[in-house]
Amino acid sequence: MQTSTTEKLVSHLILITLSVLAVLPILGLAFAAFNGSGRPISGIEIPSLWTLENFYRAWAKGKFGQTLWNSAAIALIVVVGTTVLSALAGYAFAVLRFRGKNVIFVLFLIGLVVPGEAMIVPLYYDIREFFPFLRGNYGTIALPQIGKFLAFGVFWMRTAFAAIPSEMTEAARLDGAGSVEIFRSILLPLVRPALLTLAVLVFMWSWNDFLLPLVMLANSPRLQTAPLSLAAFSGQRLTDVVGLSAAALIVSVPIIAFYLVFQRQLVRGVLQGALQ
Amino acid sequence: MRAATRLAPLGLPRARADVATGSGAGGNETLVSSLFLAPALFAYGLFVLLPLLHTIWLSLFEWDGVSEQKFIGLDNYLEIVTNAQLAGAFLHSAVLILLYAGVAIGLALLVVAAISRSALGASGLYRTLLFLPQVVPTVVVGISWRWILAPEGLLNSLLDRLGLGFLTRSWLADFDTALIALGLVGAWQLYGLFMLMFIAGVQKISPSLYEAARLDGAGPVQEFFSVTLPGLRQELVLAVMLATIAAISSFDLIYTTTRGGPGTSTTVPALEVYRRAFAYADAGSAAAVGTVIAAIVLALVVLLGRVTRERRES
Repeated sequence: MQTSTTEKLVSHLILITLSVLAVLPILGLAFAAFNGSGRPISGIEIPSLWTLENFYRAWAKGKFGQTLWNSAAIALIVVVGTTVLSALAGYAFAVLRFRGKNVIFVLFLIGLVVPGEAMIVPLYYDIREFFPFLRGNYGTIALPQIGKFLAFGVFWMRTAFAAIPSEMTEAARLDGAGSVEIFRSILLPLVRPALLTLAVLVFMWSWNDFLLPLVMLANSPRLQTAPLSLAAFSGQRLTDVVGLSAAALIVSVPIIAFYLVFQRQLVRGVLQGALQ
Repeated sequence: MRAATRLAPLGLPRARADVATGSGAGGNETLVSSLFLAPALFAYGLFVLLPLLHTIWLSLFEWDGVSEQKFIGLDNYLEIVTNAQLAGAFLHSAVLILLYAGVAIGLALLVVAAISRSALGASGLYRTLLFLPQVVPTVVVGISWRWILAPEGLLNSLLDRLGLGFLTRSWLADFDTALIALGLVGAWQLYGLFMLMFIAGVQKISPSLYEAARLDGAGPVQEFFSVTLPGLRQELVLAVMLATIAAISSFDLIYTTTRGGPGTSTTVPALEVYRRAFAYADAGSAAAVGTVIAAIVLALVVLLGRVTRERRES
């Protein structure tokens, strides 16, 4: 396809403009965070004097050490739980034959689109009543999250297992291998890339989840997640723009770093997962 | 692999047909399957399906979360229609859907139209930047835009500098602008994702279609409408779905910016669920709103899914 240089140039200009616009709000926040306090910031201002005082203040007031740790611990539990359960169930849906397969699969599809608001009220009351042992520990938030992300995970892993040519399993089966053995030694190594993508997506969803921790952890100050502590901090310090910016940066940096490391999996996962 | 090569001379297609009909070595695997399936089904059933059913059940009761539940039939649903604040929340989310979908999809399409002729992909740095709003916690997005839209914020100082000082206002505290401003923030959060989706979609369109269009003397506009847009049908439907789900459940953004204010001008159904259940002690009404949200989203997904399937078949 022939293309003129002008067309290419215009295309690049449009892409640059919109790419910059996509990060400008975050960038402005980052710059503000390094500015000295006591001065209103009303624009993207590159600090004339870089200082870390806002970070010290935010860290001390916002208890971010504890909440970042909570977020990481919860996300890790949820990643392990979701990937293991999704791999097992995805294998069953893609390879094994059993009655009621389609009906059960449709049940999982429902969770793919129904937003958390439709589950939150009973979750709060029922967990208090029927799972008292979950109160005051990470399980109170990790288990509902695993359930929620399983809808996508099962769907995702079924696709991954279904993409493997059936010759591979049949050959092993005729060799006398059982379902468990086929799953563990033949198929699982082949779906490792899909599992990694799933793990990365789930980590991000868990880290950024808001409504569920807000409701479930309302009475557990020790278990608060990083986004929750940031919301609380921002409610208390509405006028402290630079301190708030520092706090927002503290909470964003881990997930942005995570994104930069795993961006291939993340972007591909979201684009593919959405299209399936 | 070893077994596969050994089997090749025996004729794999036949073996495959056997297994496919269930008469092969596998037979009925219900027992094994249930072992593989049980953990996921247990967790999903307990923390998604049962709560969803319980929400529907609760929506038929008047309940403050503590005392006895009182059956009131469909009254909670009736309230959604008759209560101005509740009906308003659904109206607001309709406005948000229009803004999220309209602005974000429109912008992304415009970009794709502009760059599809030069066959540019959104690779490398572009992709990294465009996807970033999807990664940052919404609380951070809210804080950032609260600051941009504040009376002394970036937008107003920009307007001042451009000599448009008469336009400045407290965007998120103004009854006329708060909802629209939030709609645009949501659109900002989504447009990068939509751009990446559409660009990936355009790259799947066969180049021969573009060449044919050009041989027919199609200009950029005609080319867009006759080649690009039809080729992106699937992505477009998906974008509408994602924008709708985001708009109807945009709890995080509203909670961290306006909390429904000023007045009730930016309330959304998701916020009403939260408030009714955990601030007003009206769990039944909260459940009814939650049920309606779920019903709207499910209906939309089924409807849009049908549209794409019919179009693809014809």
